[in-house]
Amino acid sequence: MALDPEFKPDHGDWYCTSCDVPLQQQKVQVLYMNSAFDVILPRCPECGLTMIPESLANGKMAEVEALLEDK
Amino acid sequence: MASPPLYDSPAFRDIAGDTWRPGGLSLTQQGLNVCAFRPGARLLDVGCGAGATLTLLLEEGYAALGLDRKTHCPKGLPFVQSDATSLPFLAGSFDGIICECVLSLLPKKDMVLANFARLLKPGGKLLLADLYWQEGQSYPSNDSTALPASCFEGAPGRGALEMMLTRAGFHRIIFTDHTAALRALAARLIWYGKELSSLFHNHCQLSPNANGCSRRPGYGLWISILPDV
Ligand SMILES: [Zn+2]
Repeated sequence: MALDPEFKPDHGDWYCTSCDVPLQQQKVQVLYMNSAFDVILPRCPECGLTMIPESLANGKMAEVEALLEDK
Repeated sequence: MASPPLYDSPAFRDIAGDTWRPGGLSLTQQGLNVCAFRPGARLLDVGCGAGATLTLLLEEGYAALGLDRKTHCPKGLPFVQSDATSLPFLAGSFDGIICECVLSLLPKKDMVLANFARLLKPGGKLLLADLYWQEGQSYPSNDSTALPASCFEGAPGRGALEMMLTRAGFHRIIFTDHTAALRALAARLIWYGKELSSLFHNHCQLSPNANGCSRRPGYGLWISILPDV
């Protein structure tokens, strides 16, 4: 993949409350369903806390997990 | 205005289209290794799409021909436009037939498989890769004459599919499970794909069945072999 896909917060400005700094769009490697993916997500530059936007978690991810995972 | 990301551009999606398939070309290669066709064998790729497998077959030195109901096969590749349910060939024309992510989308699967067997020479092999349902009874639309709304809806149970293959005249069936590849593709689509519906030729809708029953989709590779005489 030549360009890493970017996922931004659905709305608003987000802060890491532990470090009191705004989250930044940073390249991270996500481990998901036994595969690794290079993507750009909102992340705390200090402690590395990474946010999965709600629309992604409750949208495509929930859909796929409901179908493929035993839950 | 920023240009759209590469993976989002129509051109890239056209090229990548055929590899948005569980296991991609490496699963095709794995199946070909099991088939062990002789060099120059006549192979038909039913539902060749953008031609990724067809290109691989030609590179491997087979006399391969692609068939698809749409004319989106790249120029220069040997290609016939036709529907998979009415194949315009004489009996015994091919040493092998490749059919990836297509059967689940077709009505009248019994008839399709019988036609595959008829087009193959004695000892001919069918490489089939597709979705199947892991649990419970075969899904109702198995041998329906209606066109399935999606490949999930049209996917047969494994047992039902293998019975259909046997009825079509295949006497040896080698099955390997590749559900992990289906899961990997689904995960890849979440992070790198635009729409989940791009799974399998854009026909699929990932829709968990509403009645809460525990059917799970799997992905399988079947090599089915006709008797020698
Ligand atoms: Zn922090």
